[in-house]
Amino acid sequence: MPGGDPGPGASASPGLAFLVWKKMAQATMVRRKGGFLRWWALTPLVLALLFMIPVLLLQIYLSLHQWTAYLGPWWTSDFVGLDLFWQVLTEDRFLRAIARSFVFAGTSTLLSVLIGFGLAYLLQSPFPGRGFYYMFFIIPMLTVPVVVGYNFQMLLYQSGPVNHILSLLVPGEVRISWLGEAVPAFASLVFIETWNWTPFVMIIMLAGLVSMPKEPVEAARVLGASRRQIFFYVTLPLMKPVLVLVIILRFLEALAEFPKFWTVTQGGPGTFTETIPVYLYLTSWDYFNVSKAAAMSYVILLVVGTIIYIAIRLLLKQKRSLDTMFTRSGG
Amino acid sequence: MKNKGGKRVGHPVVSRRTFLKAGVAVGVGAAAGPFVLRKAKAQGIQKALPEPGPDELRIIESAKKLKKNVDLSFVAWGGHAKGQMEHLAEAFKKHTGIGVGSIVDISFAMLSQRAMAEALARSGKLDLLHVHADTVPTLATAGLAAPLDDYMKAVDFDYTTVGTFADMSRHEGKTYGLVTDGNCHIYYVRKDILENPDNQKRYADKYGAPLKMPNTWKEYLRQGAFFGSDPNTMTGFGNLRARRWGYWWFLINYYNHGLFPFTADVEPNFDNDAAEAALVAYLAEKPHVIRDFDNWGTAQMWLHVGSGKAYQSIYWGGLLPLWENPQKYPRVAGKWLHGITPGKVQPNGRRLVRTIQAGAPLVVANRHSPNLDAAAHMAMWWTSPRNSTYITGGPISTVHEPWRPVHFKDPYNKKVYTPSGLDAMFLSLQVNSPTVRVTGALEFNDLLDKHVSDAWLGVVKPREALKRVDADWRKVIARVGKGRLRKDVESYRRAMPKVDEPVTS
Repeated sequence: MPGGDPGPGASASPGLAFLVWKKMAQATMVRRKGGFLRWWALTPLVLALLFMIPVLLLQIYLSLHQWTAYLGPWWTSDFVGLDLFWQVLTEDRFLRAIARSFVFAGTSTLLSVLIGFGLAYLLQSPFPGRGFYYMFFIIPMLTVPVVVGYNFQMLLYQSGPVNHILSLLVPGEVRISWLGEAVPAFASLVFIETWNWTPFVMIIMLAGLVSMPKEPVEAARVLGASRRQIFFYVTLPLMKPVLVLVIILRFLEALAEFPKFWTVTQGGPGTFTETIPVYLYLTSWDYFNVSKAAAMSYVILLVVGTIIYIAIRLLLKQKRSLDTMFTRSGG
Repeated sequence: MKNKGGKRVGHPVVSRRTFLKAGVAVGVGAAAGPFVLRKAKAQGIQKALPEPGPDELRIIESAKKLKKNVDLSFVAWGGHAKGQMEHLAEAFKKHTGIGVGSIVDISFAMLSQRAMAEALARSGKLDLLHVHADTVPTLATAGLAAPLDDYMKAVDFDYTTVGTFADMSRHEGKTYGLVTDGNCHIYYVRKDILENPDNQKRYADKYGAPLKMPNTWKEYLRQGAFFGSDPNTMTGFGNLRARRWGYWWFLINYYNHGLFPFTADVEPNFDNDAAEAALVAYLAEKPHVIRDFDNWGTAQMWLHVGSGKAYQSIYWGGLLPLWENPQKYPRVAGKWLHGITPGKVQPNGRRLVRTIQAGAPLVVANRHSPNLDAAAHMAMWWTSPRNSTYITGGPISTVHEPWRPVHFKDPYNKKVYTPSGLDAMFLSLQVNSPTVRVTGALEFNDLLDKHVSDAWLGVVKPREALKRVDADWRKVIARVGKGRLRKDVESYRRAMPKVDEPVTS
């Protein structure tokens, strides 16, 4: 109807169109806002990458060139291809350092988790003095690792307090050379690490225990399950994701432990406590062989990356099994 | 306030804030009290700041010409830098306008790493660095240490040292640092035990030889085994065997066998019979020592020897003021004989005596510093004859030991180190040898230490350990380059003692 009356629907059309436009505009704005926020949230990641990528690239460059810091600028170093990687992967000292690091991280993590979980289990129910015990148990974690190292070095001296106390408890004089012999030195460091970081495990496990749903435990109790059965068949499966998380975190942290090794034994006696961080430090800051240290770092990155990948897979698996369990139980 | 159950609820009687305040007050008091007392006590016997002599006046005049009013930064271990060096820097500031504004206090073991970090960064923000003498070739190669010869020549600087200390601060003919501390190992043996008639008889009955101050390693080891038969009551030796330090004692034995770590063709020189004999001698102490893991300069070994639990010790001379102080170590003070390390007759018939410097620190001026000339003058000021004499005479326990001939004539030093202790230091400095000092010294030293330490643990046989040293060193030599190392080895040889045996005058 050109030139004619718009008709009854015509007056509604612009209104409807306006409404539709408004709705669309609102939706677009929300989308835009969402998009904007999404990108905004990504900014730290982008910045981190911008910061990290040059470093990683430089490290790749260095690992492919032989640069010793005191022999000239890095850009004049000779290209050696993958020689340094081959050198590292076939070096007995490096492989031993990796093995030591894994044994150290594994044993200290296992002990921390066992003791930390035990303490958390004891502390989960309220009782008089619980706050005091909580504070008391977390003190080691609040102590600076270097201080922990120096203090234990003094305590573990052959004629020091630890041997003195042991001598009071057992017949005869205890004269263990805790830091002067291979196995005691390594065991001492595992103990120190466990002492230092058990509280961390305890805190996380305690948080997990407290936030655990009470119904399954109540149901098991009503069905006549013993405390042992409740622990092994209800509590432990429910705590698995937390347990896996804490094991991963603790293991990775222990793998990178340096201050205690350096303050207590400096990698000795011999090289019995020379772990990856100690050897890396020596290579870069005593030998100034920055290129070899770069190649070592990449090998370690690969190893740790694999562990993290497996760990994430494990965590996801745990999460899925828990989700399935709660879905089935109608939770 | 109590709840129905009778349990205390609400705020405690002592608030957390009050508790924390009290804790802080107690902590500060406990920390500062002994320090203040010690300081006051030390002030009582502190000798006065010296008046500038002709040498010092020349440095002042030269520094004035710079027309600088600057506060330098100094990277050093606090134990070295605080006290005498600080007082002298204040005096220099008054004379010339050049002082020390900040002391970057880091552990002695970390100084070389800090210096290398600056060599890479070239920030120029650190004017002076206090480093281990053995790192001079590395720091010179890295372009950090500035040659000081022109400054020294301009003020006619007297750099007379006992033994080869001056050469330890030189590299390829240039002086890259000035010594502040004659860190050197001397020999201590318990006079009361050695001269005890019962011990004399028992020893003579067992070995058919008189018990006297050991002149050879054989006597030294035999006496240590004799008196250290039960290390739980007394150890035969009070020497360190810790990783990163213990190999120094091996090097004493090694040098004493007439050996040098590099061959004429810059190849490692450990896989041979003489080096094996030196390592076997080093390892022979094991049954007669505490198995502790002592680091250099740690109180454990001071206490062990100082509490009378070691028969003899080859340790650094800076412990004399402690172990001869009856108030601090009543069990051993006045009971020592001091001397030089045992010697060894060489296949050619001449007797050789060697000891080792314990990380002699040098002041190095940063080539990248905008205040290089001022820094060089401060280095010369600290190490001039009068001022260095003041520095080496510490209040109670000094960490700067004598190194100039004039230091050994100073009456105050005689009081601090005892006359016989000072004589022992004078003798030892003449046969004082560096640890491995070529470009890459830290790596060469650490690799040697690693394998010697493994041998000490019994992980490898002595000869195998030495073979491994050679193998590892070859890799480093290939990386650093024989051309460069050839020059370094020449400098290293020059820093070795010039005499076979020391002389008393």
